[in-house]
Amino acid sequence: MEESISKSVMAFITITTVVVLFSFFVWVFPGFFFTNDLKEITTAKPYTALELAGRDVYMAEGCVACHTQMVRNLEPERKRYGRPNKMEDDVYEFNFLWSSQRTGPDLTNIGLKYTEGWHKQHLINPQAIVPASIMPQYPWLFEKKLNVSHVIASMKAMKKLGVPYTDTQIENSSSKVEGKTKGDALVAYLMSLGVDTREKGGDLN
Amino acid sequence: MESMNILSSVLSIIFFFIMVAVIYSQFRKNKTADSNKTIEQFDGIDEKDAPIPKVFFVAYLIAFIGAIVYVLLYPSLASWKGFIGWTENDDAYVAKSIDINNNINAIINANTDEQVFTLLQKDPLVLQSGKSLFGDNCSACHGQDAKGQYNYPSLVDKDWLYGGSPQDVYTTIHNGRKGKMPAWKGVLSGKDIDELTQYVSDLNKGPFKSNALFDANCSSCHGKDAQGTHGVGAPNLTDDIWLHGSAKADIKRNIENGMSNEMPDFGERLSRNQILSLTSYIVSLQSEPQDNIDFMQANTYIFSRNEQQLPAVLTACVACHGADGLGALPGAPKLAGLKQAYIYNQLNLFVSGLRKNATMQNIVAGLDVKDKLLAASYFSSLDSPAISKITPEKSADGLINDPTERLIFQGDWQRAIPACSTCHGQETEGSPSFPRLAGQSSDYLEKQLFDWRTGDRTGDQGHMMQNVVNKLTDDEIKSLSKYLSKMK
Ligand code: HEC
Ligand code: HEC
Ligand code: HEC
Ligand code: HEC
Ligand code: HEC
Repeated sequence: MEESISKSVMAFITITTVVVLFSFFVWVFPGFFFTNDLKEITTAKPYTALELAGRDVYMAEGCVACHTQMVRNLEPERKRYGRPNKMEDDVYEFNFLWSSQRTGPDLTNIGLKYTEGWHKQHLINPQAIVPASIMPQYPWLFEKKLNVSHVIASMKAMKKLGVPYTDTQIENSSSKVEGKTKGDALVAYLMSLGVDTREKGGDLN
Repeated sequence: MESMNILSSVLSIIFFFIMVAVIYSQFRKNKTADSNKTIEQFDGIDEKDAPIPKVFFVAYLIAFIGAIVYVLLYPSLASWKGFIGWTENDDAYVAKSIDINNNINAIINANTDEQVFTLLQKDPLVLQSGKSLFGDNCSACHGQDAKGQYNYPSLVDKDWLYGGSPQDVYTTIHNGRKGKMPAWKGVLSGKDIDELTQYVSDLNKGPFKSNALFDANCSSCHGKDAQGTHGVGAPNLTDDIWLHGSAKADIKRNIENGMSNEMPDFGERLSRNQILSLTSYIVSLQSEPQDNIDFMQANTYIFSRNEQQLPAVLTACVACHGADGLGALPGAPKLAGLKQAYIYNQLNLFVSGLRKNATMQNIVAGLDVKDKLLAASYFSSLDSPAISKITPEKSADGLINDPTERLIFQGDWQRAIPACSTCHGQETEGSPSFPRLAGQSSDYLEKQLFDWRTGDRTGDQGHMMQNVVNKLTDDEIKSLSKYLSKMK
């Protein structure tokens, strides 16, 4: 019997498949069924139209290349960046922007730290505020207007993926982003980070 | 989620036993293995039936035992928590960290505010901790050296927007600040604005001269003598320190367009002791730190916890409400957890008779404004027990099952009752205008709700609370009071 297994290509393929499927069923498959439970317990809120547009700018400008959005549950990280990420925070995140490179600081809770004015100044010229910064300048973001139809399209896509936007919300979104610049949207996005998942009582200690 | 965890766990256990079975069967077979026996030949190379080396089995045995020990000790299968009670939060960096909470608590527990800050100045660990907190949280706006920059004030000069006493600095960090200056374009004529621009930019150049336009429009915030007012954060305009630019064009733009400058609040991100370290660090940067400390309102007990030395006003309150604000006499509510603005307002309501209670009205009648502020600042500074998050059970349509919980967290829209949590906070933890309810004594809560019915308690802004109470039944008032008092 042993001989036949070691010689049969079919047996080799079947056994390999079973072993791989095994990992799939233990690690990957259960994840598909968590979403509804996570939606129940999460305090995360879907992005507004402007914030969602800002998120697209964040991805397009490659901020992910230098910034993580993943505070690990380790003392030094909690002290510096605040509340650690939880699974349920990301129910409306398509796709995740956790990233893996920290050239700059983590931005998970950045909405609690600065003001709109600061972000605008910093994005236009980081070195004017933090002289040693190596972050690139993004002044043009505050000159380019948002493309309203893109925002509506991306809201519709989010809805298909399970974000509970209503049709009226999507219709009304054009008035919310009309005339706003990409920079305004990015600042709105940054100011929203960590706000909905905020917990009381000192997340930096 | 639970069922999926169980699926994963069961599959993992099955996998474990299959592994054990495979290795065990190999182990059994090893005994009959014969290294001289040839199983097969490929191109003249013999495959012998050699036994598997022992070390291989030993390694597997260790791995199996390791797996079992791990499962027993740590949270692993389904909802098993593990014998050693490890949680994610225990993951600390293996580095020496110094806990300064004991240092600070010891200082706080035996001294007045003035002594507290004098002693904190002398503790190098406190200042060092303040410095590193400043680097992480404040330097991006105020600069590494705290000297400030365009739009962000310097914290090392004597020109304070909101005051430089440790109490002021603490309040700034805890609550944040929003400095607003209205826009004057359209309110004043272009000529008036030009005149004011010239006037303001000359203010620091010679002896002070008054100006009718300034008196009429600006002095309410910047003061008659243009020296600024700490209450609203209006800067002194007679010195050569400019937050938003010193050129005439800058000054004109600022007068025309107004400004709104914001310092974020850190009260819910940093602990009291962290804010005290930061405050001490900022005070230590001043040219004469002791001056700033002396600047404090004398004899206050905002931070200190020295019961023997409580001012006479407070000794009376403490008899009923407790030095810890958790209530000493039955019937006297807990005051810890209420905010300064709320307490101060209630004391005034007792004075004016809008809120009726013979005991309290008697006591409050003898207090002046300073006493009332002192009492409010003392009781609002006390620690109150944390409230754990409640996740009420919901039915399929999203409504909370328990009717009392539903009133608190969802309200009853058919009867136009908003959820208590919309005003009193997610966990009814309260805010400056809305009192904390969680953990308050149930008799007291019940009495308050009935007092609104009978008209013994009024004065709630816009009849917010009265409108709610009028729609509640007696039974609901009783069960709400019981439930809220048990929230911990
Ligand atoms: C080349 C890498 C790099 C890129 C790309 C980059 N950053 Fe940064 N970022 C940094 C560094 C380094 C810092 C720290 C110094 C500073 O504050 O400027 C920083 C700081 C920040 C901060 C302040 C964080 C804090 O806690 O103080 C924010 C917010 C920020 N970046 C947002 C962005 C956004 C939005 C983008 C995309 C438009 C972006 N960054 C792109 C490197 C980068
Ligand atoms: C987003 C930028 C920003 C950050 C971060 C920030 N501040 Fe401020 N801070 C300001 C601004 C702006 C003001 C002036 C507020 C106003 O004009 O109303 C201010 C005012 C102050 C004042 C009052 C100064 C005065 O003259 O009365 C103190 C004290 C202070 N900040 C301390 C801190 C500390 C400590 C931290 C860190 C925990 C911090 N700030 C973080 C922007 C910031
Ligand atoms: C409602 C209160 C208020 C009134 C009235 C007011 N100001 Fe101000 N003003 C402020 C505050 C607050 C600031 C600081 C803004 C900030 O926090 O950065 C300020 C800042 C300024 C500054 C900038 C100072 C600097 O350091 O850069 C100028 C100049 C000024 N005011 C002039 C005037 C003049 C002239 C008038 C009368 C026409 C006036 N203000 C009326 C509140 C007021
Ligand atoms: C003899 C006992 C007694 C003393 C002394 C006393 N209180 Fe009270 N206090 C009460 C009682 C009883 C109530 C509840 C009143 C009611 O039912 O409306 C109360 C209510 C209050 C409230 C309202 C609390 C809320 O949640 O709305 C405040 C604030 C307060 N007291 C502050 C003080 C202060 C400050 C002092 C000292 C100056 C003081 N009390 C002294 C018994 C006392
Ligand atoms: C629309 C806002 C609002 C809602 C909704 C609301 N409250 Fe209040 N509540 C207030 C205000 C404002 C006060 C403080 C009144 C004052 O300043 O005298 C208050 C005070 C109270 C007090 C007195 C606490 C004390 O310490 O003296 C109780 C008890 C109370 N609320 C219970 C409830 C309950 C139970 C609900 C839900 C059924 C509820 N409230 C919903 C606004 C609200």
